[in-house]
Amino acid sequence: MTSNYGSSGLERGSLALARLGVCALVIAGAAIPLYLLAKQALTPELESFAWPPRWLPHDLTLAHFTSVFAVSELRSAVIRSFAVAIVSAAVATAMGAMLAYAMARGRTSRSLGFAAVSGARLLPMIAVAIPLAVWLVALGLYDSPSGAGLALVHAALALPTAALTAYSAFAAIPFELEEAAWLDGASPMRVFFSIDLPQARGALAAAFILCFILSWDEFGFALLIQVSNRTLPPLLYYYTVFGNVGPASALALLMMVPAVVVVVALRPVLSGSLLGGGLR
Amino acid sequence: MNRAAHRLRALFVILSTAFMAAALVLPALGGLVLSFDSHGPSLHNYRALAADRMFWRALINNLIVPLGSLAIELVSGLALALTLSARRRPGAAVQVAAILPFAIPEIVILTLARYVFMPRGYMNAALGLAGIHALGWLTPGSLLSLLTVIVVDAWHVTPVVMLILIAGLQTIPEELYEAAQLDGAGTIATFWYVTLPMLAPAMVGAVVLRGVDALRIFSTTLVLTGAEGVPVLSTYAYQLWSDAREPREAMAAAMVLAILVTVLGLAGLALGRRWSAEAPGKEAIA
Amino acid sequence: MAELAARNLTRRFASGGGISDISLTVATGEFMVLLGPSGCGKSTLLRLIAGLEQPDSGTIEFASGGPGDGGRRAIAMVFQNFALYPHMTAFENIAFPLRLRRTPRDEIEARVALAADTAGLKIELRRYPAELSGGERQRVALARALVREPAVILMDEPLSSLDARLRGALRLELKEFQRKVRRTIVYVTHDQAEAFGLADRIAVMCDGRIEQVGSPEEIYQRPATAFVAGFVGSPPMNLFRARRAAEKESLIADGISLPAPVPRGAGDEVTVGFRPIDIAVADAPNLIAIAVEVEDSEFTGSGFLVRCRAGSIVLHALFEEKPARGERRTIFVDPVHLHFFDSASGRRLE
Repeated sequence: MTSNYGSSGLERGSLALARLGVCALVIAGAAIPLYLLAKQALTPELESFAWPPRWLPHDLTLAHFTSVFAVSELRSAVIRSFAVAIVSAAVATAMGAMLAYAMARGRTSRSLGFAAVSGARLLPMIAVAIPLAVWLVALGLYDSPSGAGLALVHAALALPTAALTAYSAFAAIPFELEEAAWLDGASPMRVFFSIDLPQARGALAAAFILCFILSWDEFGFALLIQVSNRTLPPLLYYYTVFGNVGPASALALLMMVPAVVVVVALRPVLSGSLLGGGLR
Repeated sequence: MNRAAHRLRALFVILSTAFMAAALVLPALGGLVLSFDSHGPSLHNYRALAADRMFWRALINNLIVPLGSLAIELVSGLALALTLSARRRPGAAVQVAAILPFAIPEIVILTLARYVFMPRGYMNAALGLAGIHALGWLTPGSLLSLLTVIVVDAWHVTPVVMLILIAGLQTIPEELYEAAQLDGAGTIATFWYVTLPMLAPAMVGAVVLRGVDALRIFSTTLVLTGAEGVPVLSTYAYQLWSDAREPREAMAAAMVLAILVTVLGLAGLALGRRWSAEAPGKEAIA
Repeated sequence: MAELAARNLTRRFASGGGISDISLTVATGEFMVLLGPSGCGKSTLLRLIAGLEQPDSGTIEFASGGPGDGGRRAIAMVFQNFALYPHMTAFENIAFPLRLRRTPRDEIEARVALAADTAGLKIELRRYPAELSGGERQRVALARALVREPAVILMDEPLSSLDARLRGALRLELKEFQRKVRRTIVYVTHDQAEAFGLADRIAVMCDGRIEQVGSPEEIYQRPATAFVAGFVGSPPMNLFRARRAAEKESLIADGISLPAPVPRGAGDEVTVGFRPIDIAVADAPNLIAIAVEVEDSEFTGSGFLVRCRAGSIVLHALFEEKPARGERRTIFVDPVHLHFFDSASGRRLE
C-alpha cells in the first residue's frame, strides 16, 4: 500500500526503522507479560515473591494446575463459568437470530433493531447491575450456585453482538427464496426454519462463539451477582488481590485458552462484528 | 403472505427486544427511581454525592482516563494498522501478537498488569537493573497511578481500534495511491494528504465507539488500584454498594455516569455524522 | 373453459408503477404470455395471480377451487433466477412441496422421479444447485413446480438470466415441456421472440394496462393500438402522424402524401404505420410512392436496414443492396399494408 516510489533515501530509512520498532514493541508487549505469567504459573509461589524477582524459572511445578482441579471452589468455578457461557450464548444466539431476521426483512424492524442494539451500548454496567442484583434476590436467582441469573444477564448483554453478526447473513438471502417456499406451501415460521436458518448457520455458529467468549470474559456483572458462587473472572480477581500468585496465574492461563484459540481462528469474522459495534 | 410474515417479524422483534429491555433497561429505570428515593422522593442521594470529595475525584478521573486512553489508542492503533496493512506485510507472529491483548480476557490482562506494576513487581525490577529508583506505579491517589491505568486500558483496547482502522484503510481505492505516486508524492506526503483524510470517517467511528466504552471504565481501576486508588464513577458506585451498603447513593452515582455516557455518546454520534459527511474522503469515493 | 379469470384488478405502488383495472381470462391448458417493456406491470399481474401481492381492488377466480390460504392453492411458480434452495439437493428441492404436505416417503420418491423425468432431468439428484448448470437448474425448477401437479404454473422471465445460446435451447425445451404436461401456463417476458415462440395467446401490456390479447398472428397482423404496433415486430413498424388533406380522400404527412382511403371514424389526425418488411423498392400498380433521402444503413445479414428521411419523417426500410448515403430513392408501399390508429387514443382504425 505504501510505496517507496518518490521517497527520499532518508525518508525510506527512517520509515523502515519505525516499522521495525512497531513490530518489536508489539511482540515484546505481548510476549514478555505472557512469559512472566506462565513462569509464575509453573514455579513455586516462593519464587514469585522473591525480591528482586527472578527472570528465569528455577524450580518447575505443576502443583498450581493440579490445584485448579483439586480445590472444589476452583473446580466449581470452571464448571459454572462454562455452563453460564454455554447457556447464555445459546439464548443470545437464538434471540439474536430472531432479531437479525426481522431486521433483515422489515424496514421498521431494521430501524427499531439498530436503535435497540446501539442503545444497549450506552447503558453503564453499574447502573444496571446494582438494581438487577436487588431484583434477582427477590427472584431467588441472586448468587445462585447454577449461575442462572448471571446467564440471563449475559444473554441479554450478548444479544446485540449475536444480532449484528447474523444480520448480514440473513440480509444476503434472496427474498425470492422465501416467496418460492411460501408458494410451495410453507408457513412463515416454516420458511424461517427451513429456508433462512440453514443458510445462516455459519454466521450463527460465529455468533455463538462470540457470545460464549463475551460471557466467559465478563467481569462486572459476575462480580456483583455471583458474590460467593463465583465464576472465573471474579474468582481470579480475588485470588490476585489476596496474593495467591500461583493459582491465580494458573487460572489466568487456563482462562485464556478458549478465547485465544477462537479469536485467532475467527479473526476475519471478528473484525466485521466489532465494526458493527459488538459489546465487549 | 405479507400479513402472516409481518406478524412473525413483529413477534421476533418484540420477543428479543423485550428480553433485552427486561434484563437491562428495566433495572436501569428501577435504579433511576431508587436514586431519587430516601424514605420518600427526595434529592438527598444526589446532595450526599455533591458533598463527597471522593465523588468529584471519581467524576474528574472518569473524564481524564477515557481521554488519555483514547488518545493513546488512536495513535498506537493507527501505527499498528499502517504496519499490518503495509504492502510488505509483517509475519503472522506480529499479527497474532497485535491482536492478542484483545483476545485475552480483560481480567487476565489486569492480573498481569498488576504483577508487572506492583511495588515489588517486574517493572520496578527492570528499572533496578537499569539503575533507576523504583516507582510507585499504583500508589493510590498519585498522578503516576492515573497514568498507569490509562496505559493499561489503552493497551488492552488498541487492537479494536486497529481493526476498525484496517477496515477503513481497505476502503481507500488503490488508484488514489497510484495517482499520488505519479504526482511525485513521497510516503509521508501520501500519508498526510491521502491516507489520513480518507481515514477520517473510520477514525471518528473508532472514537465514538471506543469513547462510549472508555467512559464505562470499571475493572481496570478496580483491579489495579482498588476502588479508592483511582476512583472512577463505576468503582465509586460499586464501593457505595458493596462496602458502604448505600444502594440509593450508589444508584445516584451510577445515574450520573449513565447521563454522562448518553450525552457524550449521542453528541459524539451527531458530531461524527457531520464530520464524516464533510470528510474529503467521501467525495473522492463518490 | 377458463382456468383463471382476473376481473378489474388494480394494484398501485407508492413509488409509482403497478397495474390499473386489468381483466384477463386464461383458458385451461393455454400458454399465456404477458409481454411488455420493463415497468409495464406484467410482473405485478403475475405476482397478484400467485398471491404474493394483494390487489387494491378486483378479484381473481380459479376454476380449480378458490384461492385458498397461502400457497395451498393449485399454483406453482418458476422464478426469474429459479429460486432453488441452495442448502438442499436437487431431490430435496423438488420434494419440498410434498414434504410440507406430509406426503409418505415412498410416494415422494415416486413423484419426484416422475416430475424429474418429465422436466427432462437426467442428472444425479443428490447434487446441490451450485453444482448444476443453468439448464439443469431450470429443469429442477420446472420439476419442483410440476411435482405437486398444479393447475396453473406461473413463470417470471425464467430465461432472462441465461446467456443467449442457452436461452434458445431452453425455449425449445419449455415448448416440449408444455406439450407433454398440458398445464395452464402464464409466462412473463419482455422478449417478443420468446413470446412468439411459446405463446398460444399473448397479452401485450403497457403502463399498467393490457393493450391487446390475441394469438401471435393477430398481434402481429392486426395490432390493436399504436403501442402494440410499435412494440411487436423487428425491426419495428414505421409510425408517423398524418393530417386529413383539404380535399376529401387522402392523408398528408410532412413530406408524404398518401392517396389512401381515410379510415372510418378518423379525426383530423391519424397515426399511420407500415412495417419495413412491407416496403417494395420497385413500382407496381396501385402502390404508394414515397420519395426519401438515405441517411444511413446497417448490414443485417440478409440485407440492409436503411434509415431514410421523407421531409421530417424518419422511416426504416429493408433493402437488398447497400444504398449510398445521401442518395435519393423512391420506396413503395401497398395500401393493404397500411395500419391506421387514432392519434389521440392510439386505437386501431379500420
